[in-house]
Amino acid sequence: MTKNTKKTKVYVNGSLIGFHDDPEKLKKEFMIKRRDGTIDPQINFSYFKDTKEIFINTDSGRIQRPLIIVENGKPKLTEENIAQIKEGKIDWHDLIVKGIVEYIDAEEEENIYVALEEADLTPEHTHLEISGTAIFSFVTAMIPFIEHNLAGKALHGAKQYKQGIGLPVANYNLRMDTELHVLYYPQIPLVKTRVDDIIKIEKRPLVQNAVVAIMPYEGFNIIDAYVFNKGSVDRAFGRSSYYRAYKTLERRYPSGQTDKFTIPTEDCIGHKGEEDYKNLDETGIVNIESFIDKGGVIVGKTSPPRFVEEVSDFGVVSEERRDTSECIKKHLHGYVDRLFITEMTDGTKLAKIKIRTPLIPETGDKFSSHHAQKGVIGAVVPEEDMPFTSSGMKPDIILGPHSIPSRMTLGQLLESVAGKAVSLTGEQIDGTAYYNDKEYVFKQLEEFGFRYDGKEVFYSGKTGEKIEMPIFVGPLAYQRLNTHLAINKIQARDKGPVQLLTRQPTEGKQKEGGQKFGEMEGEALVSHGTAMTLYEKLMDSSDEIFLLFCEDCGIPATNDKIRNKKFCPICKGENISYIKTSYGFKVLLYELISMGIFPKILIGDKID
Amino acid sequence: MKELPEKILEKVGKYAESKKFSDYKKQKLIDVVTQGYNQGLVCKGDAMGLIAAQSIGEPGTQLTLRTKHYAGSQEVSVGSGIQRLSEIVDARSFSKHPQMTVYLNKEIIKTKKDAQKFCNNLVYVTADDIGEFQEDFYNRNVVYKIDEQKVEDLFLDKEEIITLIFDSIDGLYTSKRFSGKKTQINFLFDKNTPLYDIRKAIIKWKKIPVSGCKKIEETILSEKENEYVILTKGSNLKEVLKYEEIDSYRTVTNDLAETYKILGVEAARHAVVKYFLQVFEENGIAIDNRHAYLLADLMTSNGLLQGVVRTGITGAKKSPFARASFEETTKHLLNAALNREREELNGIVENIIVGQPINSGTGIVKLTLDPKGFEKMVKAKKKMEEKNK
Repeated sequence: MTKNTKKTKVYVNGSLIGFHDDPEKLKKEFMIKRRDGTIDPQINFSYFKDTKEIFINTDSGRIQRPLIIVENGKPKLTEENIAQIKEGKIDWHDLIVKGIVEYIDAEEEENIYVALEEADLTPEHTHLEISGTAIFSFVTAMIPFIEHNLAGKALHGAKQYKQGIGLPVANYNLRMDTELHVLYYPQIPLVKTRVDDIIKIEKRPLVQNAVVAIMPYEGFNIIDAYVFNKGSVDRAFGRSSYYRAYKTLERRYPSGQTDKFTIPTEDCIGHKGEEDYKNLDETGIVNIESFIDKGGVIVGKTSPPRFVEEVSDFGVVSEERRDTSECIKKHLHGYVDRLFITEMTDGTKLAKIKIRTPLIPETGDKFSSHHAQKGVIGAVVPEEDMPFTSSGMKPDIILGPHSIPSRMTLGQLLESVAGKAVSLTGEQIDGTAYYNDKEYVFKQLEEFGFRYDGKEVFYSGKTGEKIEMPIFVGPLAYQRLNTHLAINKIQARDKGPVQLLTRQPTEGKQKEGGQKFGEMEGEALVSHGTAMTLYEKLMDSSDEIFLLFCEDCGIPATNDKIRNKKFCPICKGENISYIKTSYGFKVLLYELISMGIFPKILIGDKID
Repeated sequence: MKELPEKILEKVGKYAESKKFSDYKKQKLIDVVTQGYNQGLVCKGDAMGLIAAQSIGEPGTQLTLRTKHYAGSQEVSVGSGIQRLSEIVDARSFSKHPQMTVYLNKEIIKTKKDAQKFCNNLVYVTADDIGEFQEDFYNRNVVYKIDEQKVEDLFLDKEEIITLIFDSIDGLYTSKRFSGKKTQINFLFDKNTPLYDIRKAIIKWKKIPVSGCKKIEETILSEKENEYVILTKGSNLKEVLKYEEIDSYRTVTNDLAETYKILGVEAARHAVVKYFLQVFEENGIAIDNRHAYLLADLMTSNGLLQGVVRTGITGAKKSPFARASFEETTKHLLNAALNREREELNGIVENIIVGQPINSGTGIVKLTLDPKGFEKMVKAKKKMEEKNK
C-alpha cells in the first residue's frame, strides 16, 4: 500500500478496482466520452483531490438532476439550440447526446461549480442551472409564490395538491372506476406558474377561485376551521360528484346451480321487503337515474341454498333460495349513473353499476389552499349574515387569522393580493418561484384605488356596523380534498350489533359500532367517585345478563322452559338464584371450566 | 369536623401573634381555617390511589424520554425523565447512574487543599490506572513502569505506592526487583513459563487496588453553602461511611436499593419521595408531594422496598382477578385455582370484571330495602300523622 500513496485510488460502485497516475487526464477523457455519448449519461464520475480518490457510480438508486454544461464561462446551450427546440427539430434527448445538458448525481455535485443565472457566469463555472424553479418538484413548483413559504410548508402543500378533487379524466362518463371524484365547474387559477403551462394543468384544472377574508367569525373558524358562504355553496362552490362502481355476477356452483338476477320473491331467506326492490326492473337490475337510499338494493339476486337438501318422500327437491342482493354502502345514497352488463369468458353474467353521489360541502368537509392551509368547514353561514365591503362584495370563505402567523405562509397572502390584481386587470399573473414580480402586483392594486396590502373596510353582516380593523381579503385558489369527507366518517348508534362471543357492542364504523369506553375512561369515572355511572356504562349499555346459579354448587344452572323447571346440572337441586352480571364474565367462567378449573360463585345478599 | 393538626395550628397561632389578634379574633381565624381544612380532606370512598396515579401519570407524559447531558456543568450526569422515574417506581436493584453526595467533616477537613486531596483519594485506582505493564515475551520479562505525573495528580506518595504494588504482586515470576530510581519493577520469568500464563498473571496484577473506594469512578469537589461537598460517579455507601473525614449523617447515595440495604426502610422511603419529586422538579413540573408520599408508603409498607411491578407490590395483591388483570393472566388464574383462592371482590377491577358496582365512590354506600320493615315504617308514620291530627 505504501508505494501507491502518490497514485489515485479508483472505485467503481464503492469497490476499489485499481490505481491511476494522472487523475486529471482520466477525468478529462471520461467527460469527453460521456458528453459525446460513448459512455452512458447516467454514469457519474467524481474526483476528490484531497483524499486522492475517484468514484465512478453506475448503480441504481442515485438521484440525478440535469444541468447545462458551461465551458469557458459560456453555456453550451445557445440561442440557436433554443430556436431548434421551439421548432421541434431537436428534443431533450438530443441535448444530452450532444453534450449540452448532463445528469449530475449527489457525489459528482460535490466538486462542480454551478451558476444560478446566466448573468452570474464566470470562467470558473462548470455548470448552469436550467431554472431556479427546477429545484422544486413539478407539484411543488405549481404553487405560486412558494419561495415565500417555509420549506416544510412547500412539502405539505405539494402533498395536499395531489389530494385535490378536480377533473381527473374527461371521459369519466364512460368509465367504470371503483372510485372517482369529479369537481363541478373547476376553474383556471388566477395566479399561475410556468409549470402550469408545461404540464397543461389548465386543461384538467382542480381548483376554484374563492374570495377569502381573514377574520374571526363568532368562533366558528377557530383552529383551522373555515366559515363558508351558503350562497357560494348553493352556487356550486366546492361541489363534487362521487362515483362508485359496484360489481356483481351470477355465480355458478359445483352442484350445477347458479345465482339468478331477479327480484327476490317473499319465500327467499333474508327477503328485505317489497319497498326495497321498487327501483329494480323485471331483470333484477336497477333503472337508470333512479334514486337509491342509503344501503339500498341495486341488483336483486337469489342464490341456491348452501347445502343441497335431501329428496323428500314425493321425489321433489324443495329449493329454498337465499336473497343475496347487491346493496350500496350503508352511509351513501345516490343516483344510478351507468349500467354495464356483460358476460365473462365462461358465460357468467356480470353486472357493474355506477352510482353517483352528489357531495355538497357540509360541516366537516376538508378544504385547502395550495399553501398547506388545510382545514374543515366549521359552519355554512347564510349569505345575508356574511360580512361585506362597501361595494357589497361578500367573501366565499372566512379563514381564521390564527392560521397565518405561526405557519408563516406568506405565499398565500401574496397569492391573494396577486389574485386581486388579476381580477381587476383581467390578466393572469405569473407566480413562478423566483421569477415573480410582487412590486408590479402592488402597483396594479394602487392604480385601481385599492390598498396595496389587500386590506379593505368591512361591515358586519348581522348588524351592518363597520368593522373597525380593515380586513385582508382577496381571491385564492381553493381545492376540495377527496379524502376526509364528513359523509364517510360521521357515525352514531344507540342499539345495534353485538359481538358473537362476548355480546359486547361492536367496534368501528363498518360494523355500526359504539364509541369505545376504555380503561382510562373507566379510571376517570372511578376517580370522580361516580360508581353508578361506571356501572351503567359497563353493564346496562353493554353486555348485562341475568344468569341462573345454583346456590349450593356455585355454577350456572339450567332453565328447562318446557317443563318450567330450574335445576342445577350437578346436584339436581332447585336452590337456584338469578345473578345480574356481564356476559363477558360468563364467558370467562366457561373458559375457566374448559380449562378444568371449577369456579364457584358464592351468593351473598339477595334482592327479590 | 376534624380538628386542625398541630403543625397548622402552630402556624395559625404565629400568624395571629404577628398581627396581634385578640383571642376572639384568633378563635374566628381558627374556625375559618378548620372549615377550609375539612373541605380539603378526602371524603370516604374517594379513590385516592387512582387520583395519585393519574396526577403522576398525566404530567409524566411530558417528561423527556432520553437522558439529558448538560455540557460543561460541574454536575455528575444523572438520568432524568422517564428513565429515572421508572427506575424509582420499579425499585430496580441497579441504578443506571449511581451517584453519591459526600459531605465532609469540618473538624478534620479545614482547607480546600485537604478537601481536594480527600476528593481525589476517594476515586478507585488500580495498578493499571497509574502505570503500565510492558511485556517482553522473547526474554520472558515484564516491566511495570509507574507514571509519576498521574501519581502526583492523585496526591499519592510515589514510594509508598510502588512498594504497595511490589508487595502485593506474587507468584509465577522467578525474581522481582526495583529499578530506575524506584519507578519501575522488573519481573523475570522462567524460560519455560507458557506465554499464556504470563499474560493471565498480568491481567490479574493490573487489577491490584492502590487507593480509593471500590465502584467510585469519578469525583468532583464543589462548594455548596460555604462548605465543600464531593459529588461522585458510582456509589459505594458502605465503604465511604467508614472514612472519618466525612459527615456520615448527611452523606447519601441516589441508589435506592443501596440506601435500603445500608440505612434501612425508613431511609428508603425518604429516598423514594426525594428522588421521585426531584425528577419532576428538574423537568419543571409541579405535582403535589402527597401523591409521592402515598406511593412511597405503599412501596415500603411491609418493611421491604418493593417496586410497582409484578414481582413487587402489584404481584403481592390478594385478589387473583386484580393480579390476573395486570400481567401473566393465565398463570395467576391457574395458581389461584390450584391454591383454592377466594375472590373477595373488594377491589375495583374485580368488581368491573364480575359486573357489579365498584366498591368506591358512591358505590361504597350499601343500602338494601327490607320490604317488611318498610311496611312497618309506613304504618308507624301513618299512625303518627293520625295522632297529630
